[in-house]
Amino acid sequence: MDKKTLLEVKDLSVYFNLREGVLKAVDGVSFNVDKNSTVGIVGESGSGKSVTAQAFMRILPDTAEIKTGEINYYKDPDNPIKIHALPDKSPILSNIRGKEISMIFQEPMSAFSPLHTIGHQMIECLMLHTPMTKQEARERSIEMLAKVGISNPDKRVDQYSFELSGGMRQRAMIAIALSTNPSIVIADEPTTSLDVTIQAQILKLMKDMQQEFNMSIIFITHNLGVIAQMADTIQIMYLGKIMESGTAEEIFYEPRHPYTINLLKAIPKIGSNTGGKLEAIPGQIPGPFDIQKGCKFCTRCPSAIKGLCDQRSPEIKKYSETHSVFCWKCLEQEK
Amino acid sequence: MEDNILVVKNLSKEFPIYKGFLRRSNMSVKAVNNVSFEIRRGETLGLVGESGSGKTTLGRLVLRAMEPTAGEIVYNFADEKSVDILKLKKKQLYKIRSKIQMVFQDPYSSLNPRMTVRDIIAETLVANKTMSRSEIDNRVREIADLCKLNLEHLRRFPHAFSGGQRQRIGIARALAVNPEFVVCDESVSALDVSVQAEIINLFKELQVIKDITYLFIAHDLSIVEHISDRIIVMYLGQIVEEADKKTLFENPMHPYTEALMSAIPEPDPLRKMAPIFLEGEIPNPINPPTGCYFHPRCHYATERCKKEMPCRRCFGNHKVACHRAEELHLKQYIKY
Repeated sequence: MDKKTLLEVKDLSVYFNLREGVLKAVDGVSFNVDKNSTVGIVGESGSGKSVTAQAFMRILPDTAEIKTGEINYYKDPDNPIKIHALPDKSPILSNIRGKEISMIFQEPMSAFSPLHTIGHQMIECLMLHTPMTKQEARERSIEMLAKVGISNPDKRVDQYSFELSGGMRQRAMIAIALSTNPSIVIADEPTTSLDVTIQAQILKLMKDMQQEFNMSIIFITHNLGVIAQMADTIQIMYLGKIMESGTAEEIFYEPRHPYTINLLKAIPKIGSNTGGKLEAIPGQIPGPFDIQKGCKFCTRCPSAIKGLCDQRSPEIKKYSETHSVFCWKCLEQEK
Repeated sequence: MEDNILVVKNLSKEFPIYKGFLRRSNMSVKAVNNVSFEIRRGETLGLVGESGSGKTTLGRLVLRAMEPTAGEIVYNFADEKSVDILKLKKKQLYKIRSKIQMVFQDPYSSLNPRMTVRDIIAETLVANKTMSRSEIDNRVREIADLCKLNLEHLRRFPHAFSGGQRQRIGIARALAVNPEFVVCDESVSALDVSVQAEIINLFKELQVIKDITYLFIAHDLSIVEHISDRIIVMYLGQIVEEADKKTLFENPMHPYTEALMSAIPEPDPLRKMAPIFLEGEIPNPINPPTGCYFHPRCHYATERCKKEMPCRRCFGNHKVACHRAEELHLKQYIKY
């Protein structure tokens, strides 16, 4: 195991047991999160990107279970914590949630309690995870609010979430997430509900905070522009499986998987093809219960090989140390 | 025939704020504040701005889905003389409605779950009372085919469709009455990337086939750039800049436009964005700043900007509301 690795995900599968049947939300996902780096998880709706992140903190809904796989957290390189195997009410787990791994949610309005002040919610988190007294925790909260660029932090700390604007609320959320000095921050679509100018500010803030607190970020989004700006390595997900993974440069400059290639062609780029047509991916994302054999993308793939892609799951093809693709076409080209 | 399909003059909309026990109103939000613009026949006009800039309100006003406080909205339809739709009575307005339509943002809440796809698309035709049942059926099939809906699915209910398919139903409903002008309010923002591209292509194809003029409202600048011919930038209920898209991206003249463009996340890891940060947030529209509405956040503001509201000035087809438009040399976003 690499010394730099902080979180190791091995063959993770999360299944939902629903009345309609078993929904394979995450199906055999593996990747590593290195210290002090940003891993981007990109996917469309239903690709399982949020469920993957929820599994890391074991905050999955009741109907979901981790079917197979490992999530190893290397706080101490020789003695990893096996997050997947911890019992539900284990004290180690509550120490991980919010202390070691914390989360920035998409909807800052619904993630905060409207009944408690921002300060109350920050102090609660700090007192739970650190030996601080209430007074110390309050001071730390004000300090954190100032750090994320909220003006008049000593006034804001006693305000409610609905008194803040969207951008401010997202800043407050980042302040809570970082107040316990976590090693990993999971950001689940943190800027999707914000305006572009505010989005740019929040992305800058997250980068600055990463420098200051030496943390790793798992950045989940569907926006390819945002991920290009933020991530060091990228995992492209489709229907619960990783299609392609690599560094940001590899993904954007040498995409290999037909899904990645098509996805990059489908976004409008300013100044590139004025008035031209976008290359849309034909078909639509299959329903979660449409069980299919083989590669999940084969129903929409322009270069699907009949009798192979729709029968057997593709194996891994490595282009470099960091760049790997799950695609039969890429494997066939090799031969 | 007039060149402009729509001419809007000094349009304003105020929402009163009711307070206290007697619900007295002494304050109001100026959601749209003295806005004038025109749309040429057959073009796509993009409308961008942050949340709270009044772009949705403006979109609804031009269809008279909402009554404006003041102003004029004059349409020049192909077969008629120009009409100010604000002066029309309800019955007269009814006739005009088939020429102006809207495609909504959320394909999930904008379709009635108790109506079949056929009924949803046919609703406007039925309301028009000019067609027989069989004519309506034919038209529905024709338009559904044009919007690439599977004709066998017309009897199903909306819940059976994915987001992209539902948006196609929404588009088919808007186009069933052969409108000349369609307002698209964030019509692709709720869709996934791969589906979004298809819907954008569909909008463009239909524009050519049916000769439609669009007012395309969106917050995503790269989509607006792709689909529009000209772009209007709104800030706090006012139009701050208006130009054709090349001019706007090559030579922005309003500091707000510059800041907005600098914040676009580029899908290229080697081209890191260098956003120009605006201080603070969009001000409260109940009590907007004096002078230029943008001055508290503007990096180039002078004393004059604090006192005097800039009027819109024309530089050819490029209209800007900024005192310092000529002297500032703002950052070009891209060279075409």
